[in-house]
Amino acid sequence: MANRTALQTFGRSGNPMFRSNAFQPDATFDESDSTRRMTLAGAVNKTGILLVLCLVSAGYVWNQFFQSGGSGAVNGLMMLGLLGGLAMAMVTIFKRQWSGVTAPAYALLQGLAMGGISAMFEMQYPGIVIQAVGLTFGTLGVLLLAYKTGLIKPTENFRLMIVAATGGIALLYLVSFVMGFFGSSIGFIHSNGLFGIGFSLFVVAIAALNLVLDFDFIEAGAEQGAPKYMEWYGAFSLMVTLVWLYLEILRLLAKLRSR
Amino acid sequence: MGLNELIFGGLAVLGIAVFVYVGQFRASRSQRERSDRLRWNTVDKAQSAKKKS
Repeated sequence: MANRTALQTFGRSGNPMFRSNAFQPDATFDESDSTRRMTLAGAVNKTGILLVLCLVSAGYVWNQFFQSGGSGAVNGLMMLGLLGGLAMAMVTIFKRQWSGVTAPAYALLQGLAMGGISAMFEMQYPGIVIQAVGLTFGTLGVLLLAYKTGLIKPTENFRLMIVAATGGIALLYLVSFVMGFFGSSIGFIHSNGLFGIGFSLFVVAIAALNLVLDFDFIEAGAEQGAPKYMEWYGAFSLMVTLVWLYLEILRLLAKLRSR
Repeated sequence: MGLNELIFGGLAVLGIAVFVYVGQFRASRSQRERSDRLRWNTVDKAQSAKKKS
């Protein structure tokens, strides 16, 4: 498929968070008022707020898990986090003007799920969570430096490749999820063999490269003077990628530890 | 605190510090001023449509 055709088919980006009209101002946007425009500092601060909110709710579930000595006490909270987080993500994507409310709600709900999942992994493989957290934020810092200095330059081909790979991974996970209902699964996704670890490494790399698209998205929004609420939206998109990257690193480390 | 927490905790703190500090600066000129840059914008289109009307 030629690049141009593919881009027309999937839009400028297949990721619904990065729709081509993402920076389009709504009727209430006043172009002359610079205080109502998106800034880099604003997006960074709001990402920090979302991370703190996620950490607070994750910490609560984590404590509940280890105080009760099992996942039984936090299953409800985890399900609430997973389903509520998904709902909030959908609302944020389709009603980005509401990002100021829905993005923090997403972070809080996602924290509930992350806290429970992390506690389960920690119980099985002590010390794995701090490793995954360290590697996630380490990747964030290194890739931001690489992006800001121009070492990694996202182009249309780069975006097409990342979007296609992300879509492929999502499809594979969906098929595996559906097959699970029939007592079957795609074995290599979860295996701790060389192929399974290779697959996890590939997914981690794609998740990490999605961060570069997030950085470019935020940079472009600030340059173009997008509406202020896009700071929350940019922070939300970064948060979604970070959560995914963290989970994939956690899975990769678990596979390595289980060998 | 074990070595594991020290190393990976330190990495996490360093990563966040880099994000908070570097994130506030604009990207380098070589990143911003190139012909094959990604186009996210429709603000310009919206503005030009406004001007036309």
